[in-house]
Amino acid sequence: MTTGKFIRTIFFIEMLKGMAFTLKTFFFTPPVTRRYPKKVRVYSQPGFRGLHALAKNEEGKMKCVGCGLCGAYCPSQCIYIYTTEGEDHNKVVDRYEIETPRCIYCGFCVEACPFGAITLSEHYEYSTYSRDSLYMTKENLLDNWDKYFAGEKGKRYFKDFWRPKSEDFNGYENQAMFNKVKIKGKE
Amino acid sequence: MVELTIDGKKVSVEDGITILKAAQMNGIKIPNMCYDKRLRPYGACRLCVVEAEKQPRLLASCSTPVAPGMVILTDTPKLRKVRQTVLELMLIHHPLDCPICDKAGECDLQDVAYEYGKPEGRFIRHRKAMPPDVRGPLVELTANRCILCGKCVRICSEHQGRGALGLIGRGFPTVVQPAFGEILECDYCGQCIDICPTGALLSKPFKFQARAWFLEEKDTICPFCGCGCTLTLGTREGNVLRSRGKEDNGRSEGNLCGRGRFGFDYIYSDNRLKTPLIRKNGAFVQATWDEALMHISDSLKYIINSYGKDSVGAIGSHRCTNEDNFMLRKFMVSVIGSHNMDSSAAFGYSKVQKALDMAFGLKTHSINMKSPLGKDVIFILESDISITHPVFGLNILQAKREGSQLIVADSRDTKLTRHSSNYLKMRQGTSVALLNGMMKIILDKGLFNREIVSKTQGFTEFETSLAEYTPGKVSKMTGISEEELVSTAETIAKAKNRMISLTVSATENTKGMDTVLAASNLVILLGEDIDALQIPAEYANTYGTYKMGIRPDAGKTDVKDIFDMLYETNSLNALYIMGEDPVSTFPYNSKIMRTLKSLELLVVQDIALTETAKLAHVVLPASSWAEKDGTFVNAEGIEQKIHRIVDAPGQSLPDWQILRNLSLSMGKEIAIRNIEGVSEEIKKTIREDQKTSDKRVFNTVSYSAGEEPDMEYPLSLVTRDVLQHSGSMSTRSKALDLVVSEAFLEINEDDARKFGISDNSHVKITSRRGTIYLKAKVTDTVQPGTVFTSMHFPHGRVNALTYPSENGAAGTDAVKIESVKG
Repeated sequence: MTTGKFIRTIFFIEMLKGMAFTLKTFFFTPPVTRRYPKKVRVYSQPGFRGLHALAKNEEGKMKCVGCGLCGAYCPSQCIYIYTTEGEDHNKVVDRYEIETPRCIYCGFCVEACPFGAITLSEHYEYSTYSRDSLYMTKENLLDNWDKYFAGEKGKRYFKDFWRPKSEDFNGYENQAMFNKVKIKGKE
Repeated sequence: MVELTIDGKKVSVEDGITILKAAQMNGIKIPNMCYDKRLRPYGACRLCVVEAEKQPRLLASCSTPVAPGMVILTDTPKLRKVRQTVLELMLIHHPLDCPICDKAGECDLQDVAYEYGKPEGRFIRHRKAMPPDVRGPLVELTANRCILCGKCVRICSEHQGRGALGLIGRGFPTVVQPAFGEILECDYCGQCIDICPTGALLSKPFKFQARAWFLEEKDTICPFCGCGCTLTLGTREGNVLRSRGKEDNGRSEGNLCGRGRFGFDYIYSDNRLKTPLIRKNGAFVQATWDEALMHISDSLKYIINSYGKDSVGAIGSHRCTNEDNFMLRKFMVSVIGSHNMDSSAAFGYSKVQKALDMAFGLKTHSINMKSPLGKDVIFILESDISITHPVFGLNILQAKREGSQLIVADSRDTKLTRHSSNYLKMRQGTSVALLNGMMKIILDKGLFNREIVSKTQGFTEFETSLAEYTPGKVSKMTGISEEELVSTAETIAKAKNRMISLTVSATENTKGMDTVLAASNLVILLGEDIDALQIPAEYANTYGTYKMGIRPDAGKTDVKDIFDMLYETNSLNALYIMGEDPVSTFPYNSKIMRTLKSLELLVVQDIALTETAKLAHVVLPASSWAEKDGTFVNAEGIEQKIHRIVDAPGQSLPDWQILRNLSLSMGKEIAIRNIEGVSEEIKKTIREDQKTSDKRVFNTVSYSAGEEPDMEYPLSLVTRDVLQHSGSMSTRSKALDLVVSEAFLEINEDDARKFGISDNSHVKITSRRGTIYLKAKVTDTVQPGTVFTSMHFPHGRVNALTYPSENGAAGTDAVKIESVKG
């Protein structure tokens, strides 16, 4: 054992160095983490996949026709759609339900939707104390559209990132057969 | 055999078949849209085109027969391009409304377009903009989606023999429609729904109920008639949503009738029983299983102690599985110690059985669904098989199409008479006279092998008994002209091979045991085997019920049969009815009700609160056919499994389980824990049937009329089945009730005028036994002097008029009718 090492051991020099570092970082440097409920980080990445919403058209009606492609695509099978025949023999979506605790936020439902009816909003703060409130019903999902996609914001975000196929289609009554062809005279 | 090469594979197939069939038989797939193996080649879609070597043109494989040495290519770039163009042309008119079309996910057009379709179209489209035709009760027509393959039109006219649909118009505006664009009124078999390659024809009850990919499909056996077709039930989250037939699946090979396709929803009827009910002070009180079973076992013990074992009887059911019926037998024999058991088969299958035992010495009689095919002559005797056994009826129609001669003797116009080669218009209930008359002609003309047949037991008596049935006399009895009688008898006798078919059931009153005996005589006279006689058991498990020993002759000889149990007051003190509704299905219900009311204990175990259950002291809730495992035996004698598909409502239990529990509460340990245990017991106890026998006996039968019309009761009432219903169970189905929901009286135009009855007016019908009120339907399909109605509907109470015929003769009823004013 050399003299220098002996002195360092006797006087706890190494430990003091460590303590000094701790003292410096703990007391005099600001924390990396945020105090979440009080301070909220603002995300601006487009395409963040958060809470689901059901889109409404210009008239304020639900865009979904209940084709069930989202439910067919969904890898965790958490989308339930129940339709019946309406009064004038049209298809009516009675229930559209998403079991959000089981959702993996892959966004396949959004890609599958031929009408751009189901979307994932940027909202992610919806943890609660009850499981029931995480079970999204049709009414909840439509409310989400008003809450998180109100005005221009939703439209832009939705189009920029997802570019839904409904852009190419014009409602199922006069859908173009395939993307490239437009109906003559309508142009 | 023809040798040819398909896609480099050397195959050898029968001569005369098409290239498409040859390819399919060898596992090579050729896309097609308008081909179905049940139909004649049509060649409408042009998707099945193939290339043949040394042939400049492409061949439509569905309609080109194979030739020796052909070299066929089914998938080349050229063919893909052609198919692409064909699809492009098809899709010009097809709306892309897949998101709201119920066919999506199992649509042939979708599948083919996915495989061969082009990502873009070159043509300006003219979409049809016809609103869907939603007027019919069960089938919806959407002309916009139609690709005009003509499959629906062809299956309706070629296969079903109905011809309700047609291709109307020419060129682009062609649509599939009923005549004159009216509401589709047909058999409602729904075969067109299954066969449509797009979503142009859809089932209305299933409309928008679920997408194809959300459905879980399970196979089970149809609970209605004796054909034993396989239904593919589509369920979602424990609810049965639809039923369909899959090609080549089961005994029916994918064919279904309206009952099988739409009638399954009787399990969701509103009055399903959910808890046991005990009658206290005249009203039903809900009870627990323990209470109900204790109540029954206490009462039964008391009755056995005071009146003896033979004062207890039981009625089994064709609606229940073999396991259920076997447990009922076990309960009766080993727990109660009584052999008083019978079922509805007493009015049908038992009669057939007794007759065939007398004539051929066989204890069971099974049919073969394929037997009409290849027969020279098919003779149908006063039965509408295409209504009682629709899928067996399809085979008869197919045989007719393939060249068999179809002779139908009937008292009213039916589908079979419309398709017949000879239609003998006879008086109702005179089949025995007709058969005897025909046999007399055969005997007189020596059209049989006298050397062999005359050695048969009973031949001399038989020959002398026929002496009075001269053509002239028979012609008067039956209303068929002498020439027709002679020519028919000759045709049947001279044919190379023949099939004689009829049905006997509780719902028909024109045939009895005598009819079967006379038909057996004819078969024996012509030197045929019993295979020539095809009498199907009427319901899904009539055969099985009989086989499981729910019949009076199974144990001892001095047992009480259904006629003693239900029509003789004071013959029993306790009656256990499982899954049967005598008050609304058996004849002469006022007498039955009197008997049932006189009982000290009536236990009814059923799925719903039936008319009989309303008279019971204890009602036990049972599971329906879709809610339990088990086996059914169809009319062919083939045992088929049914599966538990949905959960039973409330506290209801499978019938065998109720009986097991009841045995336990009676203090008798039955070592059966599960359904497999019951099956093993059955295997141990029930012997397999003997199918052939050398016994041949002539039984002398003489024609005796039931009730002849007279001055007071001038009309003859004939009861028959309605196509949409089978027994009284199907009347609980909402879908089937959309088509026929109430009993009606069919009456000839002349009679209607005579009695002052107009179409749809109410009529009072009186027989010697009762009076009922029905709606009248004036028609020309029935003969003057007869009125027709059906027994299915509990509220119609048609069985108040009829009576059970015990002695084997036909039980036609004389009635009078009055118009009801106001």
